[in-house]
Amino acid sequence: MPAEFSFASLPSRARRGGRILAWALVVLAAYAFRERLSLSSASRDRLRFVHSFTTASERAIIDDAVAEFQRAHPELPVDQIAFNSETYQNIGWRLQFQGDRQSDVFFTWLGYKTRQADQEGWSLDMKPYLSAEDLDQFLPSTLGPSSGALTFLPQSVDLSNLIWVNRDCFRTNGLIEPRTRQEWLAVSIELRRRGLLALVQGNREFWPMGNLGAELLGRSVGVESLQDLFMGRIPATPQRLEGLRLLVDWAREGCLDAPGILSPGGIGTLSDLDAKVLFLGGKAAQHPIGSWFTADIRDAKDHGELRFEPGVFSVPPNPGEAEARVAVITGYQVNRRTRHPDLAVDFLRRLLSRKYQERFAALGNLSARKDAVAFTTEPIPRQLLALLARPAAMIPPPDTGYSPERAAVFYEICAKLLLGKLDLDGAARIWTEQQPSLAQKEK
Amino acid sequence: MSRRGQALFFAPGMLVFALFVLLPATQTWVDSVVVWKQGRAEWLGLGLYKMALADGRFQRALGSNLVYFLWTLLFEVVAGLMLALGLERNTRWNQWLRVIFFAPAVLSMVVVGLVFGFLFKDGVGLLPGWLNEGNALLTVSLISGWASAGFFMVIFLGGLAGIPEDVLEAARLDGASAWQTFWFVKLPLLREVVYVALLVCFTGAFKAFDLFWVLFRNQEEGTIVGTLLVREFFQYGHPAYGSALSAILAAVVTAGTILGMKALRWGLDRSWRSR
Amino acid sequence: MEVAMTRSSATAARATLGDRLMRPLWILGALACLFPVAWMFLGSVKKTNQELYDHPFSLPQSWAWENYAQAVREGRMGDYLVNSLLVVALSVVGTVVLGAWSGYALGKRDFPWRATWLGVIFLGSILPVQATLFPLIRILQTLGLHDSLWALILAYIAQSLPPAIWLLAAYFQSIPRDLEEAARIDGASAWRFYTSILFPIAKPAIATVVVITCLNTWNEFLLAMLLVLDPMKKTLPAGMIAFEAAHSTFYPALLAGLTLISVPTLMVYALFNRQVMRGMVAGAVKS
Repeated sequence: MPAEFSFASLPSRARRGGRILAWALVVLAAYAFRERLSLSSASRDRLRFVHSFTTASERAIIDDAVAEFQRAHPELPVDQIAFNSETYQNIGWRLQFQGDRQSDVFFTWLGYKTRQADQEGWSLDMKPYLSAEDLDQFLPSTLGPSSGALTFLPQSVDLSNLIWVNRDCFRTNGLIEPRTRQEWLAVSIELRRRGLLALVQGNREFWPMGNLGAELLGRSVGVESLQDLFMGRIPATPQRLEGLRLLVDWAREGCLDAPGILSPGGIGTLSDLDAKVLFLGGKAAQHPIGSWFTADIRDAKDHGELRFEPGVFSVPPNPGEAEARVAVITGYQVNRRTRHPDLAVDFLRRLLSRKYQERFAALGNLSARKDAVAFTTEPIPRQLLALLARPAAMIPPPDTGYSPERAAVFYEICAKLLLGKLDLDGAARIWTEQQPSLAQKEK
Repeated sequence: MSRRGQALFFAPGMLVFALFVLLPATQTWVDSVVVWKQGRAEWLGLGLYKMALADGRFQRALGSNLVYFLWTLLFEVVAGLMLALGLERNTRWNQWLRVIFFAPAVLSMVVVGLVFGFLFKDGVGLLPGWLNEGNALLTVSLISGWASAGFFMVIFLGGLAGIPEDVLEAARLDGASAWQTFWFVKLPLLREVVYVALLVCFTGAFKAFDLFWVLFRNQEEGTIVGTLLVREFFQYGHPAYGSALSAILAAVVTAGTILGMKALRWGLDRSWRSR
Repeated sequence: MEVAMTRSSATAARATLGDRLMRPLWILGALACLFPVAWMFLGSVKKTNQELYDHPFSLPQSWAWENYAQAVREGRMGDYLVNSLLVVALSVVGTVVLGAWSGYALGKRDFPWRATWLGVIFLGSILPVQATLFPLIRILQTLGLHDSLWALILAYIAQSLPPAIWLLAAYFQSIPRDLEEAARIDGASAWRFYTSILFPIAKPAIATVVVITCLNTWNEFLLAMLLVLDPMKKTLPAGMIAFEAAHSTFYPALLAGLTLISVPTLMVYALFNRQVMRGMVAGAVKS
């Protein structure tokens, strides 16, 4: 790289030796790193399994299921392609259906993504390969639409909106966990009055509060109307958006910031992970986030970093509202172009059997199997399973239930309500205004 | 060298360039006017472009690009020029200072974005709130300025070194103040370098991606065309619309550069000549 | 070829009184400029998030080097480092070899449509990467290269070629034609003339190309994020973003990862700062 250094100044034999050495090094390096430089195998006689389980404990379970399948079918080697969750959701999921090295079995989210895969002809109808007993293992509500083809097998259910609380903080302030929406707001205002951060949330990516907004709205207008609102079939009016009033109240009362802890508007710059850190560090009284937070609490406990007793409750209802909750159902689909449909389904049958799902449950996963209550032992997951068992309408989170763009419009509205930049009138106006362009793009 | 020899030398590099830059660039234009649906081509014409121009989100993103360009003009180019003037004399001190001020330019923008993200992180950071809405574009321009002012400083130092000693000597003998020397002597002689700096700053502002992607995932104020089109394509699943946005961005950058080059040369030459 | 930074006549100038008076201000500015980098490094060896933010200016209470082990173990920074090194090395070799060939051909004044070619290459160099993104992915998939390091290497070579060709063509053009004439009369073929005479004397220009290509490919993020999805094959910047998004809520480990990305470029810069400054600026100015 330096211009001053010159090979020409070396004696010529040394130069030749140096050149040979350099080439030898290049060849050696290419050999040593041949794995990294290799292309993914193009062979058809492999089962390409795409998922986004990247933690060591999850990988161990998947590896064992793969090994079991491999013992039964040594002729069909399984290639695991594990993407990072965000990479997969935003990029990898779409790209796996292009080109000639497509996936055979892939992880997915029930809702918009499965619907799109069905429409585009990317997913296989698994009914011919499954028995009635096979299907009877799963909670019926987690299998997708009951009529027509069966293209999805569920693994787990996640509740998107739970309120995690710092019980010690509630106790020292003489507060109790709220049972109604009114009480919830009152408690939050009281916390803020005492200079505490009532609720911490990292809404940089918009989905955390957007999902909460969907639940609030879904409960107040009902699941059907919520769908109509999202698809632009009925216009958004301030009256219909009354369910989002809580977000406006929070913003007005400063429940999402506190002097010396978080500045007003800070919620829009933090990621969900930042909020997690703040809550686990004891800086906030409440943290609304999904059931996957169980795993973080367990981690913090294991590392001896949790200095308070955590609790959890679901979104407190308004009197007279419908019971509804936002839940994400994740599982697998099989690519219709696979050469080995029977074996692909067989692989899923093994992976989703009690043997492996029990181990996922031990990691804090809520299983979509009917027998989940029997093998889930941790107290918080059990509490959540009980919650799931209560009758309530299921609302998909907007970004898995609708096109990501329709979801994005709603998410942005929620984010702006929380920043105090919109009122319900403005929210209704924006949402209605966006409909024509959304419809146009979908064509 | 024979014609054939020339072609043989020329072809391999050109082939790679054509296959991985020219071909996809052309294909982007095609994708924005023709859509394949179930194996059949559907002609869209300029429909997507009309849609883009009416799309409020795109307008705001393009506006953000422009505002970002204007701020970086100040924080990168003007700051770089000031650094260059301050460190023009070739002392040992100044050599050290130049090395220090240029250093951030070798860092990855991903690193720059994440480090400043930590520094400005609300709730815990040293300067919380700087990235909140309302400040976002200004702050991100300041960060760019930190990263790139040294780079422009070096461009200007090169220009300053090219100014003949006797011209400066003459100015000194005439009793010109430092400001007069700068405004009437150095700046006119630097104009070629100023063109280059303006163009580099312009293309940089419209090609930007990393900082915005790292710092603002969704904030509307922190959305520029470069990040919006990636989202349109992958997150929203509108490849054709994303291609139209890419095509518009490419047109803005190329047209801006070429017209800018012509206009600057013409306009600045005249204004300086008349002075 | 290279951008001069100092007046050629001037030997090290003496500081005047005014310089001395301004000195504290400049030192302050330089410290402010270095602060984020220093904070990144110091933060990477702190024990807790708390310590990171409560004592931003102080040395760590005890140096927690294990954060680096965590970044390598959980963030896979070691894998990414190897990938980055491979990609950079191969991209640089490819760019230099192909760029010098094309530059040699285009350095001839009688090359057919020379101005057109140079114009096309110039256009290619100002085109935003985003304008090629989606078809590029499809082309790479068709070739079976998507999601491998070769996808990045080829895309990087194609992206780095325009400035390389411009710089080298200009350089070769400045070499007297008599030289080639003399070689031809001595019976050397064009190839032999190129390899044994022309290429060696182009070292300063090639050093510039190497500098630009190294830094640009080492730091590139957008293509790295989209062309390689396999977590085993990511390069440092894209891998770092995945690390940040997926894993750690422990900031010092993330800062350790960021430091790992930056140390190689900063070290090269510390050693060869003059070449790096000239190279980067020449790359931007010439093209």
